[in-house]
Amino acid sequence: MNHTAPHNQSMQDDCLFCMEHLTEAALGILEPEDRPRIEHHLADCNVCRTELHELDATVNLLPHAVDQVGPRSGARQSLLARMQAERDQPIRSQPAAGVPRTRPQSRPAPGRRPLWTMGSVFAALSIALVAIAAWNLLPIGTSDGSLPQGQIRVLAMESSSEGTGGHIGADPEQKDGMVIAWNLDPTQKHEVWCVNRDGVKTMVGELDVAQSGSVMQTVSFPEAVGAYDQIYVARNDGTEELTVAPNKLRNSDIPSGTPPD
Amino acid sequence: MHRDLDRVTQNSIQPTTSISIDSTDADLMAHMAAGNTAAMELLYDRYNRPVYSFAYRMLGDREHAEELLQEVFLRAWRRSSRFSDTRGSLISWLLSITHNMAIDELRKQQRRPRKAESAEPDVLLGTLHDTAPSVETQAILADRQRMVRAALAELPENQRLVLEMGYFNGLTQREISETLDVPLGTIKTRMRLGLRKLQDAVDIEALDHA
Repeated sequence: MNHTAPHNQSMQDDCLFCMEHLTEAALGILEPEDRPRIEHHLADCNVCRTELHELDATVNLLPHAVDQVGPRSGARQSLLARMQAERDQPIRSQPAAGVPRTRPQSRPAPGRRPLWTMGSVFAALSIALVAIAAWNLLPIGTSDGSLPQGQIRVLAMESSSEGTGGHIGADPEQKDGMVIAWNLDPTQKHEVWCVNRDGVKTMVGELDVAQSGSVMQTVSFPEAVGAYDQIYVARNDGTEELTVAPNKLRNSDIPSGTPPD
Repeated sequence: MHRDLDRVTQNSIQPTTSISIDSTDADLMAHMAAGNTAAMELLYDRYNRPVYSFAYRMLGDREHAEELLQEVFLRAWRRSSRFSDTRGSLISWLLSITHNMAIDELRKQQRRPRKAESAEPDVLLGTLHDTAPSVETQAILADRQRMVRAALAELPENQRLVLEMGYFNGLTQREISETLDVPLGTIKTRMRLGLRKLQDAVDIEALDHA
């Protein structure tokens, strides 16, 4: 059995667009024209935001790989002089005399965050609660009325075709999962299959792929999503297009990490 | 800028302990938020090398890297009251700021960096006069470097290359596609797969809180 998520088309389109660009967002290299749409969507979408947090944590490791060199000794003194000047004279419009003037504070780079504000986070949590409940991923209204952050896991699906990509978002303990994929061949049928621990394969639904090749659709499984060894999307010619091992959903935690400025 | 500084003054967490070379990052940040420049000195000594090294790798220029180094620590100073170690390590925070500002700088200059293949002699000489991080900090950073490099080494060359071009050189996927003369879809796929493999290869949580 399958059913299309009761989202409006605009939200679905934004979700697909965002998922396609999350790698760029995490690396800080979004095209400037893509940035507003993605930032706006991330403020409203818990699934995409969770996925970005996970990618961010990995990207933040990259600086550790560089060769270590140190600055010249003068850099330390120069910094301390500037700090001292700021501390002694916090309200001023020009740099203090004798303090090296540097370029103005940089605004956030194009293609880089800030991705959300406090206000948008509250708004996002409210919207996400309604949205996720609508997907049947979460019973609406928990005991304390809050969204149990961390129950939803998002896992990238391995793709066998260049340019094609997909994710599955689900609470591992629930039977419903959200499949998001793009660049599929819309002329082909795409079926979602699952393989349980006994190796039994079950076809659980057919994806309703748009002409653009994108799809975002909830799929109901016979058992909890996290119980499966494999979930895959297969074309009607029998070849696997996207595949994922859901048991990873049980082990993947939303990583910590401080959102950059 | 000044509003930030005011906020730091008004909302600063009052540290209750004195600082020393053994103080935690969170303690030092709390002291910084209270206006203690000695705390900043200790943090600078602890992390100036990874921040500078990263800036130098991205900008490929010593002078700009040093300027960026100062700006990063000044920003940390101004915003120290906002730091919470429950959301990630201080060094991750500092490096994120460094990356944001370096990308901004690269685009502002509308130039592409040359790769910092090796440290220049005068840069190395300069370090002789600077305060070195503690042995413990050096060991932690070296351990991180070893693990991340090992994970990167596992990636296919074409995936590692596009990640480096994007992250360290600030090139967009379209620019990488044009530079390498490879279809944009291929670049997107390589980048996504590379990042996923890296994600699988490293225990992020353990590293971030080491």
